[in-house]
Amino acid sequence: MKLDSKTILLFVEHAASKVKKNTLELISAIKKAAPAAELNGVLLCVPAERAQLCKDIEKLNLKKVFVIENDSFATFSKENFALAVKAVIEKINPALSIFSHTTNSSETAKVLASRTGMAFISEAISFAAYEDGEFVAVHPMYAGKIRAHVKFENQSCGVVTLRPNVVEVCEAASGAGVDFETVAFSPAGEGAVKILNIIADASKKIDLSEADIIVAGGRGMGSKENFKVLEGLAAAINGVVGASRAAVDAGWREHHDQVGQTGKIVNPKIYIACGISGAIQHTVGMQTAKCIIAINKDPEANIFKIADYGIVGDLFQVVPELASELKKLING
Amino acid sequence: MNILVLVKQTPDTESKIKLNSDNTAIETGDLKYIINPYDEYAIEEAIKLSEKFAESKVTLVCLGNAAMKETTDTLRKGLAMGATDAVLIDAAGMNTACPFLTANALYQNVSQIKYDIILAGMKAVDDDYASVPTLLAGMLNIPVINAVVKLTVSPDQKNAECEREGETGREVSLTNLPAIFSAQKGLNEPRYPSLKGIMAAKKKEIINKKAEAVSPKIKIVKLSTPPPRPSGKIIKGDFPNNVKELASLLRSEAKVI
Repeated sequence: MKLDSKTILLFVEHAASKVKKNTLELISAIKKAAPAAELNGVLLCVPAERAQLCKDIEKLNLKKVFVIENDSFATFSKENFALAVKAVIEKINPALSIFSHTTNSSETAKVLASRTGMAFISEAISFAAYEDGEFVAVHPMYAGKIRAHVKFENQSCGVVTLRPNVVEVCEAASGAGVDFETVAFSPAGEGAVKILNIIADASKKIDLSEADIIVAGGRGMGSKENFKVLEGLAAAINGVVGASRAAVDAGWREHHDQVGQTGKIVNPKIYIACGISGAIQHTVGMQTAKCIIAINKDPEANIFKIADYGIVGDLFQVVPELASELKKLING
Repeated sequence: MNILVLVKQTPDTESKIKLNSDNTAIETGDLKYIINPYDEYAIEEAIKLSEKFAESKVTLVCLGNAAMKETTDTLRKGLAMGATDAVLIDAAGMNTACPFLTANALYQNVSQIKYDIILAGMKAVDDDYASVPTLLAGMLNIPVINAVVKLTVSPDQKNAECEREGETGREVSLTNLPAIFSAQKGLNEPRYPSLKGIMAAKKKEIINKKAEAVSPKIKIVKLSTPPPRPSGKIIKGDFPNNVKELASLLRSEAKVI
């Protein structure tokens, strides 16, 4: 599929009445691969959030944004969200619909593809236009040990998701202003799947896959209680705590904290690995971090081979000291 | 209760993956295969359901190369854990690099089998698309809930309550059956096959099926390996000076703080 000057629809993701950074990442990624394409957005929100969100969207490099406001969007439902995006797709027939590969939006994208039969490339880390102009999405396989360069085959339209945190945001304000168009929509009504409850997790500030700073612990932590020392460092530098499979299997952390091939693949700016040996199952999940710091008492630990900076020492000594040093820098 | 479980084999997660000389496929010669780890949770959940509901049947459904020993090994292991039947759809000559093709081949066969619930792993740790359960649900026109960590089927088997990790917390939802649930780590602890189970599994027949190949919707142009990370430096010196140096390097050199 060649994008040329075709239409692209981008799913605008937001939280707390603000457009999320991953939406800017989507714009940056697609502008690079298809500079001539007409980039439109779709915004789903509750009526009360519309004004604030549109103010935020005006700064974005989008031509037109289709707004669907509905009270049903207060609770995430992949079927309902997909149905709403489909209403816009039927209106403008985009060659490509792009979403961030976050917990919710990836589900919306998958359901959209499955209910419409549109081709789908899941979890890309970059987009490119090949020499012949063919649109290609790079999708990591085997947890990132291999990268597959994937194209749509004989398709006139497709859906693709982009992993958050992997694309640098190039601030390119359009200056041209954004047109808004309201699209009418009737929600799906009570479907086959009913959300009964969402049990909020107060400790869960941000999903690991979207975090900028991660402090992770492994077998060397020794116990569940000992993770407090990592919580302390994370709090000092506004990070979140992650864990290796060994620490999760030992019951010290919840599974949603696990980084690695059978956990989350993360791309933070800073990854601090504490007491983690660096088994391949773990390193594939964090090796694309911008800066990796390893703290381990074993100088032979594998983790030092991929770390930008390493300290051989007792993490229970090093981590609190590092927290206080970094705090000084941040506050200084 | 008729329970279907979608399974496949994948290279062991500890494996190093290498590309062939023209970057079109991976070298499979030295690879050790395992059941896709997430499929093990699906099998375990299916067996637990079959223990709870009388007259249940657990049928494993696998799209794979029938001539490949690793494919039948995967099915035998699932049977040894306690599944009652195994169906192998021969993928020889099929381009399974496209999840639509995989879902379609499964659809052609699954739609011929009686089922109340379909379980699958939330992703396969080889291609990492995590799409097949959702695509299959679209084709069967039944609900799908992905990455569940808890599943409770109602006594009348008409619906199921399940939990998954959502963006802001744990989502609890209720769905009509039949439906597809994909399993996330945390759903259960997969059992080890018993010796009796292993012996019984050897005698079981694997039912061979076929599927019509359809045109793929996506295609791999080429494969590549990620650029290697340049090796970093171990900060020498005694505590706490080494930590002070690290903090200052993070600001002045790495510019991340």
